[in-house]
Amino acid sequence: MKVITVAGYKNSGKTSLIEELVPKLKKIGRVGTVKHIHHEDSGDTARHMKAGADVVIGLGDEMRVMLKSSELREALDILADLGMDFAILEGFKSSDLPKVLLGDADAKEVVAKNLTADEIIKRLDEFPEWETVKSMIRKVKSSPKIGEVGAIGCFIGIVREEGGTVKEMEIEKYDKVAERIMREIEEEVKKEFGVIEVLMHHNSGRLVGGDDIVYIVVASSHRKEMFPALQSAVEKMKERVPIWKKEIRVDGERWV
Amino acid sequence: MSKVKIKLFANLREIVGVKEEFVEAQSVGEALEKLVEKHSALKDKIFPQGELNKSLNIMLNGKNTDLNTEVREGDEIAIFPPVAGG
Repeated sequence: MKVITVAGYKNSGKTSLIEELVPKLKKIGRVGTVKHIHHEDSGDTARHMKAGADVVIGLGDEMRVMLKSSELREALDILADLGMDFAILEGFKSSDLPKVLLGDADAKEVVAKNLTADEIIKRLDEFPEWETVKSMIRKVKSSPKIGEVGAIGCFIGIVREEGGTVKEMEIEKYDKVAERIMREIEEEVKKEFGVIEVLMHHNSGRLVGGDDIVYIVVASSHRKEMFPALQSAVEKMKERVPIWKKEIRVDGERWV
Repeated sequence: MSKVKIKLFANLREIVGVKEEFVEAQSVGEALEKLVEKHSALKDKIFPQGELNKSLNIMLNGKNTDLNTEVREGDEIAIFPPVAGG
């Protein structure tokens, strides 16, 4: 991401220049802006947005982020990237995410109805984990032994589109067992290769071409042991974890 | 006789149309036979030519098992094709 800074005193024409620059750069790629806010947002962030910026951040004592997106997945990715341990969603009845339902509305994937806050906290394991590459790296970096780590390797399995032939992928998991076996593999690889941390996360549900399927991260003191540990973790995951993938292709469906 | 849950995955689940079934049985093998009785479309997949399809994985309470293992009330059996994660 190229960072272009436009500076100058008030009324030197910064916002006007940015209003010109944004649409020109949008022809080449996606554009985000960051406006330094001194007291209140004087309306410049709105001008950035109107000029076509995909993301506008107003940065002062706090950060206000405005995105031209209505994708729940993107919102969750952002929270995960920022290192949140919990994301609480209000609404989204018709999403596929496991939920607590209050009252009698029609909703999909209801875990339970009318739970109290304390009850929800007792049943956290019934709610899904959402990870991104960044959240996995953050997790690794929050390990108590991070001081010894000099190398981090990451494997990402993605949905191979095959030039558009694969439209979607459905991933099915034997949930609790898959999690347990992944934890076992993590411990095995740590012991076998003498690495400091091994973390795995496998997505499930509906994905589209190009989406991330699985993240495997290995942290070690030195790169020498990291590479073989990472490879071993990938192979063990593919051999033992009860997960199945179905390709939804232009020419039909098939279990991989 | 114990009531056990049989979880189905991937193509087996699709053939039957449900994620899980309940049967009464004394062993894993008997449970699968009862399953096939209930859903004859599974017969060719689970017991082709009368013998257990060796390519299928069978788990009892999350651990690999064999047909002779006895089951207890509330046990969970899982039957699935070769895993394909990643």
